[in-house]
Amino acid sequence: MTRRLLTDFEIMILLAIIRIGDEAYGASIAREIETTTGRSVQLPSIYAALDRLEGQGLAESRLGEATAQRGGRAKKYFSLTPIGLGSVRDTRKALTALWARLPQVT
Amino acid sequence: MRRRPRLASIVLDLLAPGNEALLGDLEEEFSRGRSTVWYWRQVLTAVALQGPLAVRARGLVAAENFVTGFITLVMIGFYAVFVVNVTDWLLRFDGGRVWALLPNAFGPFNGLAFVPTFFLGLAAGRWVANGHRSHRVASIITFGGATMLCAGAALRAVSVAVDSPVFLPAILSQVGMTAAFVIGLIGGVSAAGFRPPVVMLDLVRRRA
Repeated sequence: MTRRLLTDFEIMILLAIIRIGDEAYGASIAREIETTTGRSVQLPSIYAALDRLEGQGLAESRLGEATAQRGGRAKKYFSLTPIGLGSVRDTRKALTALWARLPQVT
Repeated sequence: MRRRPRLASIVLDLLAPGNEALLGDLEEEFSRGRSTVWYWRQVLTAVALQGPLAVRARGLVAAENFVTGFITLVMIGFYAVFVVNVTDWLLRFDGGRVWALLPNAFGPFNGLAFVPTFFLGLAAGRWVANGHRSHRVASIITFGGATMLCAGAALRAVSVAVDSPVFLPAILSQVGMTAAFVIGLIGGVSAAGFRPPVVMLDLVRRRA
């Protein structure tokens, strides 16, 4: 598993997971992105991206409790792996470097 | 408490199986006030994403399943028409040397020709299901041969029907017989425990 630069959607998801903490699951990640950025996101797209990130070792998941509100279905909680955290840092570093010395867009 | 769109959940479960966490999230969000339109949009997105996900998850195996599944299903369609044409021809044939003694195979019950056609479909379905598993190449070659014969039989049937004054009844009879055969085929396939190798149905609850 190697670190890599993330796409805009991936970085949003991973940052949302960091912001939420232990309670990060599909719906809470979508809410966090929508309230913070104003961008509307589709839940299946989040799961597809997380599936990919998990496969690349950047995120990991665990099954949580099943509740009646969810029709008896368990939540799937996500968290970052050290590699994922490294990728977030690398991406930020790359974007910040690109942003530097661009007074017209700051 | 509002009731979730049940049909949407069924569609998701059928076309994008193994998404329990997503289904739970959808129910949770719906109970928090999301609209039915929103629910359907999520389901359709999930279904649309399922194909690429399956290919990514299984790579070449998924691609191979998709191709062989597609070919098999197309050939089953051709095969159905072929079998129906032949059966129909045999049951109605009344001029040959052998059949001269049996002017109509079923006599007064000739209108029930769809019954043996159904059972023929049932048997073919079982054969297809078992053959596809253990003799994939053989079953595809056989279907290929059937396809060739089918094309000829179908062309002949159409040319005869066009010249016939009973064009509509002849076509309706063909449609009815084909339906009986296909229903039998599906029954036979199901009875053999066959799982269609189409990618969207083949992401066998990988995440379950």
